Amino acid sequence: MVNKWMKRLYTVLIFGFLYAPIAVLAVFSFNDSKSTAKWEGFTLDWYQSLFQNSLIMKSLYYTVLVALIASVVATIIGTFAAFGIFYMKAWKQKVILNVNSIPILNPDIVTGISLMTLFVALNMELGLLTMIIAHVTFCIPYVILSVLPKFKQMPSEMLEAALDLGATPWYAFRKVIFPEIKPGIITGALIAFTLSIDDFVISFFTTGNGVGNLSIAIYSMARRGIKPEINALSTLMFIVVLVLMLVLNKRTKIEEI
Amino acid sequence: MSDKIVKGLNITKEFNGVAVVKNIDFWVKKNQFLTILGPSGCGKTTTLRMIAGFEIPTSGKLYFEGQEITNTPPYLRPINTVFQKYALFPHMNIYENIAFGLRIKKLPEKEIALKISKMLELVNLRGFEKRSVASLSGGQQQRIAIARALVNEPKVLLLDEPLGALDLKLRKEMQIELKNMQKELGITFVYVTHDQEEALTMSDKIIIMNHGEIQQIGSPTDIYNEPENAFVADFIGESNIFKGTMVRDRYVTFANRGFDCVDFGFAPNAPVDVVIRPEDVRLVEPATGLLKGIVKSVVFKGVHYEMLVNEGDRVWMVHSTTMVPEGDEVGIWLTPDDIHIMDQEV
Repeated sequence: MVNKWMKRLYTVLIFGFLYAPIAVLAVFSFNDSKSTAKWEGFTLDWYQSLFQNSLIMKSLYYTVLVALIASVVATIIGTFAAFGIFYMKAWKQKVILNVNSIPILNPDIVTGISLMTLFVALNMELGLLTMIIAHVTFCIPYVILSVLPKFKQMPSEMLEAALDLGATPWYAFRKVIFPEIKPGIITGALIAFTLSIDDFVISFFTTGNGVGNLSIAIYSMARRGIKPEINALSTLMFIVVLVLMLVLNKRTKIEEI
Repeated sequence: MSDKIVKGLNITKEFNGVAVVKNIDFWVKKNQFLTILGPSGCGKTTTLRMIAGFEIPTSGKLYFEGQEITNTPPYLRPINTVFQKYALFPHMNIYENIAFGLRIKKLPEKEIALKISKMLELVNLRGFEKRSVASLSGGQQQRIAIARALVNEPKVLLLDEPLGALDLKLRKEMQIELKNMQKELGITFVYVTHDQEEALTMSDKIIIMNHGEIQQIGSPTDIYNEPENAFVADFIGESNIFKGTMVRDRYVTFANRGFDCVDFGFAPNAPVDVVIRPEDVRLVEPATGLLKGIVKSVVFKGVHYEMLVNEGDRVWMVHSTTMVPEGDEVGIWLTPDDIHIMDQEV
C-alpha cells in the first residue's frame, strides 16, 4: 500500500515541478491585475491588448513566415539529402549520418554565434534572410532523420521496378518513392515547423534590422518588467506547440500500426 | 538481321575491382526460353541486371535487335523484369500496379482496363483489381508481378529467380504455367535460377555459369547427357567423378583397370575426369561385375533407391529401382556409353 502511494506521490511531484510554472503562467494570464502574485478576478483583457500590440503582431507575422519558409525549404533539402544518403555505400552513409547529428547535439548558442560570424564574414546584413537561412540550417538534420527510416522500410528494388516499367527517374520518384516516404516527410516538416517557432537563441544571434520572432519579442519585453501580456502570449505559444506535439505523436502512432 | 534478339560480346563486370562476370559472350534467340543457371555468386544475376540496364558492363558490348544498348537506361529498353522479391508498389492496388507501365505510355483508360482484365485472366487472378498488395499471398503477388511486366508486351522478359520464395508444390505449378505463358505469348524469356531441375524443366537453352564464366551453353538434353566438364556434370544432377588416364582413343583407365569408352581426341595418357551418372551404374552379381564393391548405405528416394557402394578407395553413387541390402557384396557393370570423359579441371 505504502509503496503504491509513494509511487503516486512521486509521479505527482514530478509533473508538479514540470507543469506548475506553466500552470501559474496560464492562470495569471487571466488575472484582472498587473500583479503576478495576487489573483484579482478573471479577465481576457491581456489577450485583447496582446492582439492590439503592434510589436507582438509584427513578431507573430515573422515567426509564422520564418517557420513556414524554413520548414518547407528544410523539408525539400532534407528529403533529397536522405534520398542520396540512402543510395550511398554503407561506410559513407555512416560518416554522413554522424556529421548530420553534430548540429543536433551542438549547443544552440554555438550554432547561433557561428552562423552569425559566418554571415558577418560574408558581409551579409543580419535580418529576415539570415534568420531564415539559420532556421533552415538547424532544421535539415531533423528532416533527414525522420525521412531516412522511410527509405529503409521501402521494399527493395522499388526504384528499379519503376525504371524497368519505363518510368524516368523523376517520374519514379514522384509516383513510387514519394508516396512511400510521405509520412516521414510530413513528420519531418512538422518537427521543423515546431523547432522554428520555438527557437530563441539561434534567432537572437542571426537576426537584426528590427526583424524578430515572438521569442525575441518576449525577451525584450521581459527586460522591461514582466507584463501579464507576456503571460498571455507565452500561454498561446505553449498551446500551439502542444497541439503540434500531439499531432506529431498521433502520426507516429498511426505509422507504427 | 539475325534472329538473335539479345547479344552480349566480351562482357565483363567488376565491382570495386573484383570481376564478377568475366569476359562472357552469349546470345538469346527470339521466342526462346533461355535459362542462366549456376550456384549463388556465379554472376548470373549480374548478367541479368546488365541486360535489364540496372548495371553497366565494365567492358564489352550489349546489343538488342542489332542496336547497341550497353549504356541505354532501363526505361528506354523494351525489356521488362520480374523481380525475386516481386517489388510491387505497396501504396497502389493491383489495378494501379499493373497499369503503371501503360500509364507511362499514355494509353487511353479503356484500353488499359481491357488489357488488365486480360492479364489477370492469364495469371488466374480475375476480379483482383481492387485488392491491396498486402492482402495477397506470395504466390499471388508473384503472379501480379508477372502480369505487371507482361502487360507492357515486352520483347524480352527477364525473370530473376521468380519462384525462389514459393513452396515446392506451388513452384512446380508455376513452372508449368510460366512455360505455357511463354509459348502462348511468343515472348523471349531470360530466366535466372540456381535450381537445376527448374532449368531442365522449362528451358529451350541453358547457360551454365560458375565464377563469372560460362561453363557450357546448350539444350537441357545436351547439357545433361554431354556435360563439357566435371563442374557441369556435378551441378546438373549428381555424378560420380573419378580421376583417370586416357591411354588412347576410346580407352581409359581408372579404378585400377581399363575400360572401353566412346570418347576420343585426347592426348595419349592425358589425365582426365571420368564422369558416370548414378542411374547408369548397374549392380550385378559380384562374379559378373567389372568391379567389386560393398553396399555401404541405402536410402529410399521415392522413385528409386540411392545406394553408396565402396569399391577400392572410391565411393560410387548408384540409383536403381531394385534394392541391394546394406553390407552385401555387389558387382559394378558399365557399358562404354555410360562413361563420359572430360578434361581435368585446372
